[in-house]
Amino acid sequence: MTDTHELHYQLDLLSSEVTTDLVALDRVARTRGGRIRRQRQGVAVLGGAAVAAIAVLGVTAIGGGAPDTSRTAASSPEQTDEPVERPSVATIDGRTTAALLDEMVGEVAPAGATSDHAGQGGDRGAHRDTYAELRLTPAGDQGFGYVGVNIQGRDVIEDLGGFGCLGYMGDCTSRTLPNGDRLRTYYEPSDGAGDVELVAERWTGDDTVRIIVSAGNGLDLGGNEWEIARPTPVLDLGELVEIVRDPRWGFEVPGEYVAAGRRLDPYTDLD
Amino acid sequence: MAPAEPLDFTEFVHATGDRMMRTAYLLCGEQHAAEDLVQSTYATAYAKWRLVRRADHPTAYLLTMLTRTYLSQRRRRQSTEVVVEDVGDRPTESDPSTRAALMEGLGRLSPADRAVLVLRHWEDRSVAETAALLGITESACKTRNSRALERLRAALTESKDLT
Repeated sequence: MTDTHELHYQLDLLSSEVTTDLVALDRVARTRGGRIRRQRQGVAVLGGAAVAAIAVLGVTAIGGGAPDTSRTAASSPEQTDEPVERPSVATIDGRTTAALLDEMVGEVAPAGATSDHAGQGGDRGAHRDTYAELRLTPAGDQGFGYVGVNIQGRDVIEDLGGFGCLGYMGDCTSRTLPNGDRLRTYYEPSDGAGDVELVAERWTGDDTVRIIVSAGNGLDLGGNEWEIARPTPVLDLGELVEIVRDPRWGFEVPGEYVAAGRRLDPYTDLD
Repeated sequence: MAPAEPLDFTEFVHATGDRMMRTAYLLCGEQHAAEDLVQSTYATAYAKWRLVRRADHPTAYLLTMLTRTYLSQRRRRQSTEVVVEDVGDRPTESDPSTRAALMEGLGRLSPADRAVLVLRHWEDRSVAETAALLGITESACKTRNSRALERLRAALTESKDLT
């Protein structure tokens, strides 16, 4: 085998049957990568004592301290000299929804600051549906705004009928994604209070889960009153689409977010 | 890969994962170590996603992370590791004895020489690209490549003589 073309051919044959589970690779990379990112952010933001506390919480969550709703999922590929990565999953509720949203917002706007986390729904009610919101103040930007997410099930989808654009949806687009999911984006025009909301919505291909992520240019005070803090929403459509397309959304989420949800303080239970 | 619009991580994994897995397999010599390497690489890519997706060539960026992670892991494991390869039940068109000899020959190379050989002759990277990916000079890259080929030829010749 002196010819380099022959060597390429033989190497090609040697590896031709090697494949990997790309869906699992994506999921595990997000889980492990998210952990790396949080550790990095934690070190950057917190003092030594706080870092130690987070490390203890992290070990607790991974090592069996997670609540009863957490359980071991299908195993990931084996490791050689490191602990085997076996992600757990947990049923989503308001806190875990808020924790997951917080992480994803941090991924698309890493220099921003989040606060005022709130959520509702989950396994305590008759429906599994959840909602969470937070306040985001982008770095170096003027003004804050809310970011919210709804996780809804089949019964809501059936009530809604089709997926097309409706009359009140401004600049609406809808399309089917390569994996069969459907994506819709639009803005909701102000109802007179000066609020502007952008929305990205995904329905899973099997019509079992609907995820809606939205961002505004202020905070909803209720009763059609808004605290408007800026001219445009705090996240743009591209960022909302990135969040709504994240495969971690669903009625079961990686178990580590249970611990992350517990750490949210202050947190407002909207139920 | 120079994306016209922001690259989606899932799409990126699906577009590049199988190829990276094959490269990792050729570097590591066995499936589980390759999976471990690929997982670590994509986890790092996800943690740095805003950086990776905006790179001029995200795939090359990923390949750099993969090979450097491989080399750093090898430095830790080298003293005790024995690569055992089982390729007997993989149906391909190549001669099984050639495949076994090739894998054995690759296993005799140092991790750095093996990385050069895989990048040059499987990934078809130029000397300049391979040197840049591994963080070595082009001269060192050429030297390593020549040495790796020579050792591989010797291993294959030895195997042929034995059979």
